[in-house]
Amino acid sequence: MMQHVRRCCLLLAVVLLAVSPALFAQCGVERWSVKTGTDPDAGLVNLNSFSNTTVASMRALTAPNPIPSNNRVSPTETTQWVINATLTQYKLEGDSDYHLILSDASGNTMIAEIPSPTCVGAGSPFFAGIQNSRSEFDARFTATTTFQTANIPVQVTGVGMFDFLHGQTGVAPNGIELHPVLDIIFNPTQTPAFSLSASPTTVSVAQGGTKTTTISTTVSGGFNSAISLSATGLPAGVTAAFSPASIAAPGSGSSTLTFTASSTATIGSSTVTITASGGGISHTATVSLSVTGAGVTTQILGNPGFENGSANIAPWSLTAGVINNSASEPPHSGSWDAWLDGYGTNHTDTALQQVTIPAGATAATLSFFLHIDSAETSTSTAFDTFTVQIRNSSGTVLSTLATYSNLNKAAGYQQKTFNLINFKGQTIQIFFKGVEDFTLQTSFVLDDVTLNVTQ
Amino acid sequence: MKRLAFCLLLCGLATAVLAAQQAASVDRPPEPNFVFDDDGGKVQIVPADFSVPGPKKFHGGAVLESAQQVSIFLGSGWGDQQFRSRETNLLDVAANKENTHLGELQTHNIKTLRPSPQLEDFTNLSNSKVNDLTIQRKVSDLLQKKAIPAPTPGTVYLIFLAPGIDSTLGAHKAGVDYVAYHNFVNLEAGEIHYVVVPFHHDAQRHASAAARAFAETAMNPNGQGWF
Repeated sequence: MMQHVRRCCLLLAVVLLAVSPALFAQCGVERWSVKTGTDPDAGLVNLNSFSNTTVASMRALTAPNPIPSNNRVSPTETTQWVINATLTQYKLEGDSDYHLILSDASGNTMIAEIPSPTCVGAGSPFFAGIQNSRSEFDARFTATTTFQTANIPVQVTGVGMFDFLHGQTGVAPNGIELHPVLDIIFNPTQTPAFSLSASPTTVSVAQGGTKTTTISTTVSGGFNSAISLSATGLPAGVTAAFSPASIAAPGSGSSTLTFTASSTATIGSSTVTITASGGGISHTATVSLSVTGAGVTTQILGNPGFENGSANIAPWSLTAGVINNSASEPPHSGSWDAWLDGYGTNHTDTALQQVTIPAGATAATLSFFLHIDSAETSTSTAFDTFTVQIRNSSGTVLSTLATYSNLNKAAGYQQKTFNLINFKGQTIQIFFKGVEDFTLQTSFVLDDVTLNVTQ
Repeated sequence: MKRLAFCLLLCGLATAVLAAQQAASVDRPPEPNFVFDDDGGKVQIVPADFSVPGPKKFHGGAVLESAQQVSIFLGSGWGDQQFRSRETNLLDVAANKENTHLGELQTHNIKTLRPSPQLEDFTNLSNSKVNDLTIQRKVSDLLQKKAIPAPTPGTVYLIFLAPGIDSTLGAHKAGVDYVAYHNFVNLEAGEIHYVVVPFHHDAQRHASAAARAFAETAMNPNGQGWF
C-alpha cells in the first residue's frame, strides 16, 4: 500500500515538473482565426505553391491599415512563403504558440509562430502543417516560457500574417510574421536561388511624364549569376527602361525601372510583369501602373511682374521705394520691377507675397529674374546681400533658398528656380530681403516672379 | 508513515523547485514596470509596491485625446454585499478624490469624460485562474452580446475582478508582481483598451491601482506614449 502511495507521489511530482507550464495554457484571441486558418479567407491560401522570400523583403512590405480582424490581406496573407534565415531565439507563449525569432545576415528580424494543434479549429487547411512543424520543432528543441538562444540555420515555410504591434520581441517594423509555420527544416541544404521585389509596387504616371520604381534582387544558397530584367504588359504609349539593364553577378542588387508615358499614352490601370532571369531561374514580380491625364500647370502668384505699378502693388508687400519703372534699373519684361536697395547707406528692403500651395500639387516651382549691379569692388567679401526665404504665415523662416550678394553682380538678368513641392498644402510667404551696408551701393532688381504649380 | 511523509516532502519539493524555476526565469522587457503578456506583447503594470520609475518621457506614439471609464465588475464575488458596497468608489476613478493622476491627465490635455454605466457580470469565476487571454475573450463576448457599450477612441474598459479570482499576466501574478495593468486588443469591434484590476483587500489601494492604470492607459494606450 505504502509503496503504491510512494509511486503515486513520485509520478505526481514528475508530472508537475514536466507539464505544469502547460496546465493553464490557452489559445490566443487577436486575429486568432487568421493565425490558425479558421477565417473565411483561409481557402484563398494556395498551399500547392511556394514563394521564396527573405526576412528583409518581408519587412519591406507595407502593412495594411486597418488590419482586418477576421479576413486576409492579399497577397501577403494568402501566400505560402519560404524563408531561409537563422533561428536565433524561441519561447513558448501563454497562448500556446512557439514564438520563433528569425534573423538574416544583417540582423533584421521577424517572428514566426507555430500554434499548438490543440488551438487549431476543425476544418483549418493548415492543421496538418501546424502539426508537422510542431513535431519537427519538438524533435529538435524544447520550448519553455523563457526565451532560449538557438543560432541555427532554418528553412521556414509558413503563411504571411500582419500582427498588431505590441512590442513583441523580434517583431518586424510592419508586424509581418509567418503565422502559422507549416514546415521547418533545420540546417537546410540550400540550393542556389534568388528573390525579386519591386518598391513601390504601385506607380502612377501622368501623360507626358516619367515615374520610377526600384527592382531589387537578393540571392541565397550560393547563387552566383548575372540577372537580366524585362518588363511586359505595358499599356500603349508607355515605355520601361531599367538602369542598370541587369544585375551583375553574384546577383544581389537593384535597378531603377523608369516608366515614360507619352502625351498620348492610354489612360487607365494595368499590371506590368517584371521578369528576372539568371542562373537558369526566372522570377516575376508585378507592378500596378496607372496612367493619368497630363497635369495642369497654373501660375499662382499675383502681380508676378509688378506690372500693376505703384498704384496697386498687391498682393505684394514691398518696402517704400521698391516698386520701380525708372530707366535706371530697367525691368526684365514689361514696365515695372522691384528694385531693392541701391542707396549706398545702411538700408534694408523687403518684398513678400503670401500664397497657398495646393495639397494636391505634384510640382511647384518658384522662378524669378534677378539683376545685381554694385559699386562694390571686392571679389571676396559679401558686403551687401539678397536673401530668398520661405516663411510661414506668421513670418517664421521655414527655409532659406539662396543668398546672393555684391559678389554675384552681373550685367543683365539671371533666372533662378527653386522646387517648392515640399511646401504643398501649406500657406507660405515668398520673402526677398536686400540688406546694404553703409557705403557703396548694390542694387538687387527683381522681376517676373512666378510660382508654377502642377496638379 | 515515514514513506508517506517522504512522498509529501518530495511533492512539496517539486512544487517549490517549479515555482523557483518559474520565478527565476521570467523574461521582462527592459522598460521598468513593463512585462510580457500571454502572447508576447509588452504590457505596462502598476507594480505591487506602487513604485514609480521616474519622470515620464514621450516615446512618439499615440495618446488618448479623452478617456471614458466603462466599469465591468467580473465574478460572483461582487454579489457579496460587503464587497459590492465598494463598487461605488470605483465607478469613476478619474473623479475619485484619492486620484493623484488627474493633474497628470490635464497636463497632457487628456479630457476625462463621464463614465458609462457599469456592468456586473457575476459569472462564477471564484477560485479560478484568469489570465489576460481570458480577459480578452470575456471582453469580446460581452461586446458581441452588446452587454457593454461599443468602444469609442476614448473608451477604457476597467475590469474589476472579484475577490477569489487569481489573475495572471504572462508569467506574472497579481498581488506579487502587479496590482493592476492595462493592455489593448484588436477585435471585430475595433481596438479595445482595457485595464484589469484584481481585487485588493485594502479599498484605498484598490482604487489607487485602478486610477493609476486608467491614467496610464490614457497616456500610453499602445505602449509608445508617455511612460
